[in-house]
Amino acid sequence: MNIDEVSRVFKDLKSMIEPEAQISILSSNRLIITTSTDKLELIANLLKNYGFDHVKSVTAIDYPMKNIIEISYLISSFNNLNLSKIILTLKTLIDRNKSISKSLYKVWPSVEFLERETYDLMGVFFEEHPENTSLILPEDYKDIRPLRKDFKLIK
Amino acid sequence: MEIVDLILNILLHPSIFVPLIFPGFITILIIIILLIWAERKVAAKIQMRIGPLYVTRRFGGILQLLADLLRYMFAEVITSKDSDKFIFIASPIVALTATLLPLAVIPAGSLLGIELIALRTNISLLAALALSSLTPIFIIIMGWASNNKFALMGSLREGHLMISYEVPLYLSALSVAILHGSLDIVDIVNNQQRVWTVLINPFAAFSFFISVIMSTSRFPFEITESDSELVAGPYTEYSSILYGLVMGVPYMRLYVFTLLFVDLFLGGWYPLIDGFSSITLIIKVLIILLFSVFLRSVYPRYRLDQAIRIGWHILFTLSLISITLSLLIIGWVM
Amino acid sequence: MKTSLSKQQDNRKEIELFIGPQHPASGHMRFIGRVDGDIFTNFIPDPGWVHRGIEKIAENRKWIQIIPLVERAAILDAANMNIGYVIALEKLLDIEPPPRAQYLRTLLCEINRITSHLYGFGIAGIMIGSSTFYMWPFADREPLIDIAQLITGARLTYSYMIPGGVRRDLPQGFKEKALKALKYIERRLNNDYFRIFFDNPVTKARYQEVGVLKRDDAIRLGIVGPNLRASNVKYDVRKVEPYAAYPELEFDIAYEKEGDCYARLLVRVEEIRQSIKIIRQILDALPQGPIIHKKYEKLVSLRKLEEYQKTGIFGLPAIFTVLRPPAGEVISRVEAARGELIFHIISTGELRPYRLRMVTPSFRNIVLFRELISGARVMDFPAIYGSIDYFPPESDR
Repeated sequence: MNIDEVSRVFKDLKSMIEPEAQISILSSNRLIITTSTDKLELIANLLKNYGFDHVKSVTAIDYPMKNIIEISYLISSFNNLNLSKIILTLKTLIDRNKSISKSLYKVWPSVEFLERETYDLMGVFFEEHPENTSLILPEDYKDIRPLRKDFKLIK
Repeated sequence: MEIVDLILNILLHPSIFVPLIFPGFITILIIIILLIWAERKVAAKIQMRIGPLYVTRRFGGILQLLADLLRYMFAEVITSKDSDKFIFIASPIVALTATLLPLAVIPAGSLLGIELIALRTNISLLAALALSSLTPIFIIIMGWASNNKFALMGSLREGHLMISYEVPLYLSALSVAILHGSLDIVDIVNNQQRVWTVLINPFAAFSFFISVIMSTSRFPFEITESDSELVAGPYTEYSSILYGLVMGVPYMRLYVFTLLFVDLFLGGWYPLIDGFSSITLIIKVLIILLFSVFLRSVYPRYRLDQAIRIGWHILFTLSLISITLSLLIIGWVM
Repeated sequence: MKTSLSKQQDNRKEIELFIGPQHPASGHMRFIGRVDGDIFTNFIPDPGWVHRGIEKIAENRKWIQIIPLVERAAILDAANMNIGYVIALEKLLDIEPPPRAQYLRTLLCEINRITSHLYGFGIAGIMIGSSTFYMWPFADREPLIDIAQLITGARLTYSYMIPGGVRRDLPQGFKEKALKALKYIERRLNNDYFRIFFDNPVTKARYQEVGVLKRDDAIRLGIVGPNLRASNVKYDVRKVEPYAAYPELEFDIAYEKEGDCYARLLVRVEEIRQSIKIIRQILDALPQGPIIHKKYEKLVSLRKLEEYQKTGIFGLPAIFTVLRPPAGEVISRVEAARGELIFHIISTGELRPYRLRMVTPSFRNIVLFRELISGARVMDFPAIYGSIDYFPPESDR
């Protein structure tokens, strides 16, 4: 994929999402969009209409020092082979203590199990997710979620 | 000497000899041991494996099944807490007995000049078919008594299959009776001295054979105990010697039906070897048995609804055709 | 891992069936199905029984130790799991392996793709009751595992790729042995497998028009790999974002239009053919040169360097144990045998990754159980399970 096309997509997206969100380039065909939680669904819908049709990963990263959890949706396209060369990271920051975010299930049904796993292992509650139950851990699990940084593996 | 004579007389009397020795219990045991060994060896050969080997290594592991049976014998019989215990334990035993009952009326040639038929009646074909339909009922009862969802579903499958294979099975058997004008199997066999029924009415033979394959759950109709979704179907909860029994039942059933098949379609004990006509019969039976178990290496299994469809659409039609054919032939000859 | 029953209303017509984790066909997972007669009205996959916490363990391991760790996600697809991580790590380190190493990586990945698909065939075969098609593909993996062993020294978990290159060069006489193995597989695949299984009327009856996944649904649910391509989506990471030596190799994307179970199997058959084609090209056009980046070649001791020049086996430099990639975020994707594998790694310039996110293809395909089996017949469950080539340990990580 040539640089021109990435920059064209970049410009398109920039004009489409600003000022609600910020877009930046991570590397040759990786773009990052950062937005706030309440604008997340709006931006997601815009991106879906632009042609990004599925989510590859939901990555939640715990930053106990800054008291935030960063949630990244890696999104791309199967239909549009030009867009499928790009992996777009849709990033949002949430409060670590509350750890509630908005589910993007309505926009991309492919997030279903990815968000469930994130809820299970990182303890991020996704509002409006159809099945906010545990996937891997026992259902009555009460301890610190294992992927949080304060969960220590026994040495 | 008199006592020996007496014992010999009792033993060689058809009503003892047939159910106990040939073609009854002991023969069945030997044939099943050989058959399962052959099934596993043939499948292993096809599948690039060695198959059973370690028990009696010199003979290629021929006694493997005997070793397994011994192991079953000494294993604990586990009955689950919620099962209907009496029926749970009784039904495999009754099923086994019921499976062997048709042997009483199925003739098996003659050995040392003794006619091997325990009970000669002029409706022996009807009797054999009626007695053979007892086993599935006990298989269904097994699944119900186990109180296990997989067992229950397996029993229901057996019930569904039963009605779809029994009708073509009986119709095609009766078409043979029409053809030979008799319900006595001995008469039917004697009628085939010159030409076998399979050559006159191949439709009947085909639908009978496929129905037998279906009723004894051989591949591609191994649906009742289909292990990839039902674990072991109606036999799921059985362990130790009871498991040995329930696993033996389909093989015994296959043997009984094959005996009937050979009598009805493959000329029974003809061509005769004087005094030892049973040997001809048993060779034919072994060939058919080997073919039936060989199917395992070739076919996956059909889905339940597909098997039922085959039963009603193809086999039922074929058995009707075979009856029509028999009637036409009778009409033409007369 | 659910501990309570599914929350549906009690319906006297239906029974609730728990399939697994100890069941002949469930694999290391559980399914909760509701059966009405012969139809599954609802079918829920319940994974997590072989969860090993690779993501968490990775946060506590040094960068180089993670190479064997991520392989454990799918042991029979180890090379593809390996290359995904190593590519991500190389992006962080900003290093590019030499061309010969790229070709060797591709070679091992394709061998792994074939063995993984053969494994999938075997499982699919036994699930619908064909014991012969269970044994054959499993046995036929052996020649390929043998040639993989010639390259790497291990049968399954190779840990062959390291940042900057690979650990070993090809041994003498490798090409002849590899070509022989490929010829054998090709003959088996094109003749024997079709005669015993793919052209078998029973197989066709079980697979055709069963578990149909439409193109739009496949995209909507984010399905990956052969399952996606069987629904007529021509998405293959090897073409979309070529890595290793794929840009220089010629191959086609295998795809089918029907989207049923049979199409999913045929896609795998075609992928094996394409992999054989790729391996043949690699064996013909393998470039000469080093197998490890120059920068790392200088780091090893003199004794190890001599051994490397003599035998082609590169001992790991001791400095790898204190590898500190610069801080940053990197996302890599590769086409593993079962589909697209994603690594999303956050580095803070420490000895260990701050966060390693690994999304395996099986995990993204897990939703297929619910979508395809709900509404299907009970006996379709093993057929569909076999056809989507789902591998619980890979999904659980």
